[in-house]
Amino acid sequence: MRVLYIDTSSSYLYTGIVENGRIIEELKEDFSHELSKYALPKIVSMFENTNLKPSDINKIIVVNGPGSFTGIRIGLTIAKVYAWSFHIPITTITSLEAMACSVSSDMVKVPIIDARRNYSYVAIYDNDKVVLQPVYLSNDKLVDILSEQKEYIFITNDDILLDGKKCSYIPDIENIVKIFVDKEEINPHVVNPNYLKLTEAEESRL
Amino acid sequence: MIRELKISELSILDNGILQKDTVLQEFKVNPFSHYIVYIDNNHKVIGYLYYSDIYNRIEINQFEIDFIHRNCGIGKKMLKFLTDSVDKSITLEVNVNNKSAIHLYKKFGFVKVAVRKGYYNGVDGILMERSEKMNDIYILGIESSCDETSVSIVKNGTEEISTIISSQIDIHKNYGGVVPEIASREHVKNITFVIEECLESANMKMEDMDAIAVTYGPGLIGSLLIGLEASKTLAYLYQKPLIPVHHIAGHIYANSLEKEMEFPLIALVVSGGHTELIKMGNHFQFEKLGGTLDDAVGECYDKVARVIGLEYPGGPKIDKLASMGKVTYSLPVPLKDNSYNFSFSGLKSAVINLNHKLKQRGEEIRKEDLAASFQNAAVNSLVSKTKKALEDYHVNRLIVAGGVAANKVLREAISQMCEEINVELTIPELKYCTDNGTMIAAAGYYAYRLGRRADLYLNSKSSDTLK
Repeated sequence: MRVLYIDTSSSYLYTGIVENGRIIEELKEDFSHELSKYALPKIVSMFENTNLKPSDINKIIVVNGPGSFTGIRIGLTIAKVYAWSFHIPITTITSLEAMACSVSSDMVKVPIIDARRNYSYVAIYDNDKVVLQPVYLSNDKLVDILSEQKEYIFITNDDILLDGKKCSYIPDIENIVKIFVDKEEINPHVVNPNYLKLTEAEESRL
Repeated sequence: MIRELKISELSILDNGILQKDTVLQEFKVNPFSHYIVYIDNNHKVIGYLYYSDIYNRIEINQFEIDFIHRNCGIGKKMLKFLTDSVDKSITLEVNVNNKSAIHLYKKFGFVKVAVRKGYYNGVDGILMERSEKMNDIYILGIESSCDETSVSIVKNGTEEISTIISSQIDIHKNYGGVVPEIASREHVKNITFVIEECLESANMKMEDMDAIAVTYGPGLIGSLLIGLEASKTLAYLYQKPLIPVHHIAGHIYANSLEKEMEFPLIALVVSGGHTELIKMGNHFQFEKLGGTLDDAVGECYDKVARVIGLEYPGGPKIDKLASMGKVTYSLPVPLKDNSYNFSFSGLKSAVINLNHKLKQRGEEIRKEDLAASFQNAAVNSLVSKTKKALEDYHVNRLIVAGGVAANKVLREAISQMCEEINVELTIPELKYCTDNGTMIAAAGYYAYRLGRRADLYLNSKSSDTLK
């Protein structure tokens, strides 16, 4: 069983190949504004380094958001075209789930991404229990919700102006894949981003 | 990646199987010489095909793949590169014992024409020839630069096999114009559906394509990225050449679906983002003669339409309204000078001011007449500058391209002018004027024949000069 993992929801490319539960190749690199240029050739170089062909992959797990709108679409387009072309089972997970799976802690986990203007993309997990599904939320409301939680830790790579313990996010691709490898597959045509937020044009029409 | 070796880039030959000195020497003594090289990811040359292009025929002089990279299909790809880019007969000599090479040549249509006794140190050589008849070439074209996701298959640059266009116009008209973020979101939802439908309606598979052509720019960056990433992924998965196409080149090559393009020609490109006069000496040789100094003509149409109270997109509606009106309002014909440039912002302001003045005076605004008067001024400017370019450069072929080429009054005025000065005019059918994958595949075909290729590092560009 070989799984290809792709996450481009930030300016980083997080990608890896997991073979029978073990990571055999991975890449975690910041491409800033050139993610669209590098994402595909870097994935290809993983195949070359491992002497694998694209048809050797049995499942694709792709992060569908939230995060950078443009970034999400880059990895997701590659993943859906790939899955559609070679009939490879594909499933999506959120960036916040990936963040929670990458930190081991007994505290309540709060993966959080700055959405600007005092808003965040955030979820809350208490061990296996989902306290708050991934959501676009004002930081004021988040503070209210967190006040009712036991000890919690923010998982983030952003400068979040909220009080509390923080740890940075480095994806544990092997663990993420282990947890989601059996997640139900989706028809590649309907593998789509989960922005959690309307466009500004749509918001102003509401 | 495979490409033709240029004399300016011989430094890439370091560490490869081809010696720089040998190449320099050959270029010096053989004016007909060309090298096609296969470059691996470490920028090392691992295969080369040295040929001479001698007037009416091609002669392959040497063809070598690095020993450890043989039997991986590299030779086949290189031979395909050559046979798809020339339409002359090709000859070569091969050692009678080199069975695998002979087998490959036969697959490409080479036949044995003679035996050269003892040609290779006592071993016979076989002279093989391939007639000039070209293979059919199928290009998949992908366009997503604005608000249309479109995929097409075009055969030999001139014959449309299938085209699918998923238009977002009904979504964007709610906002009075294209909203870039919404456009990008729609493209990502549509892209695999559109590719699949295009292949199905052509009853073809990705494997049947010879190359993938994609609009890399100019356009909305978020929109371009979807077509670009999809194309790069397909090119990698199916091991197909990737052809980068400039969006305006696409509009121009929409004309090759009407008739084979002949040169020199002048192209008038008119769309929502462009107003340009371009001279072409040959395929993909563009010389910009002039362009708009401010608004594009299509942009001006849309803005004037908004002032008159017409819904987005306003261009076609102005054209329709104008057909019911008369030229009664006096508006300035823009930029009457000796250049080949255009300016439409002054005309737009004149319409806005006139509209405002009439409203203040409480006079009735005859929208049909205002539309007709505006259109008359805009078209006059386009026609007179185009005529000047045709006459000054003594060119007797004109092609019109871009979304505004669908405009009826412009089509009529241009064809009348061309008749007067005896210029052969080509305007694409209406369906090829607006953005579509067909024109990208058509342009992609000629770029493919010229050996233009991109690697997987290709990126989108929101703006770029036509090349």
